[in-house]
Amino acid sequence: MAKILLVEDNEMNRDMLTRRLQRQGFVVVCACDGAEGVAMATSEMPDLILMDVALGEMDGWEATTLIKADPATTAIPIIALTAHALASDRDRSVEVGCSDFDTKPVDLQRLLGKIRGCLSAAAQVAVV
Amino acid sequence: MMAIYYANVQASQAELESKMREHMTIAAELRTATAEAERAGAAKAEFLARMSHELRTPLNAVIGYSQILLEEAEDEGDDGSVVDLTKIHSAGQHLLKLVNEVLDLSKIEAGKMELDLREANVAELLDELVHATNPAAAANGNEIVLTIAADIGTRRCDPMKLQGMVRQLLDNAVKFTENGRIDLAARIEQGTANDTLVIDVIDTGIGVESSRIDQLFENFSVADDTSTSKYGGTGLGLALSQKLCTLMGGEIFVESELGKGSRFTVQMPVPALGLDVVASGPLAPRADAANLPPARTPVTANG
Repeated sequence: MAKILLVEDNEMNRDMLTRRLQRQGFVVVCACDGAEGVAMATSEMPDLILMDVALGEMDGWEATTLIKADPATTAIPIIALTAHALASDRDRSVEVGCSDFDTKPVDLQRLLGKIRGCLSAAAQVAVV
Repeated sequence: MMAIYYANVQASQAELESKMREHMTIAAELRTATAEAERAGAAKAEFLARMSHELRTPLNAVIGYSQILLEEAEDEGDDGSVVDLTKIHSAGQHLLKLVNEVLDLSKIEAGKMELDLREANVAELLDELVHATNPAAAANGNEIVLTIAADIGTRRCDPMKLQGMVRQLLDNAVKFTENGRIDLAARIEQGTANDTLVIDVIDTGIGVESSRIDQLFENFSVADDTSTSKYGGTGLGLALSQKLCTLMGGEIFVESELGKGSRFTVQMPVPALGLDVVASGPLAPRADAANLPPARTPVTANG
């Protein structure tokens, strides 16, 4: 089953989303801040990254930019999680190289749809 | 004779000096009072910021974890738990909504609510709102019809506050309408310096007596006690919508007929579309200009 790296600094949100994704059969690994997220993208090589953008010192946009700049991790699809469905957030997520973006609080079915979409798109690229 | 004048001058001078001293004392007292008021204002703002965090964090735990348990119970076909957990979950969401409203109102009244202006796709904001309100509307047998004029595009506004303001009007319409229709329509009236964004929320609900329209926007205003027991609510929603509207430089007009329905019209200035502004995201506007006439002899509720 696909491995998801969840980068989220709020402990409760991290716990809840991890459990909900595990119930769907995903393997979930977590990072508590942007820097750890960048490091774990390399060490864990997940199939997909869920990136909360409102992180502490290094925000999710910056972490995404670094992950996308590294040839080893550039192909990993990233879904940005933002607090509001703003056009500016969507533009920003495209700009830094995210595959998709979704809003918090998480609507699980909607997020699952996006996760599956990103995973199958990545799989097709891998085959080609 | 001179002695009398001199005595008078001296008396006047003494009186003047005593008045001066009085004024100085009052000025000093005023300065102290102002400083105290400023400290109280700052303390209130800090209190609100802290309360906001302290109240929302445990509430989010109640909502989030009941959601998880609900999903698990649904997966396992545990119908009894699903019913109970749904109650906890929706009560949590209701409480969060109230907490947010009280905190927003207090923030506005403390003068701590600031506008966060950015380019926002108005059609998208309203569409999102309708999507979020649809379940509550359906529960009352209502249909929400969204009509957005094609020329609205992307405007500079505070998207969250615009959404918050319309959300209250829409929630209000849904709440007081059963098996009816709610029209949410947005259009632009072009001006020279600014355009005016006009948003109508029209329902076919119970309506309001004309004598009560002026009180609609007061804090804690509910029609009457029987209305409270039937519809619930604190009467904060409309007060909040109007305060948000005023903050954004707009006005809300109301027209209502008992038993027929109500029409709330927001008129808000937005910058005219510049030629260099890239219009609209991927979500295309829904329909052509709303052919709705402007509210007739509107009662201004802005005061």
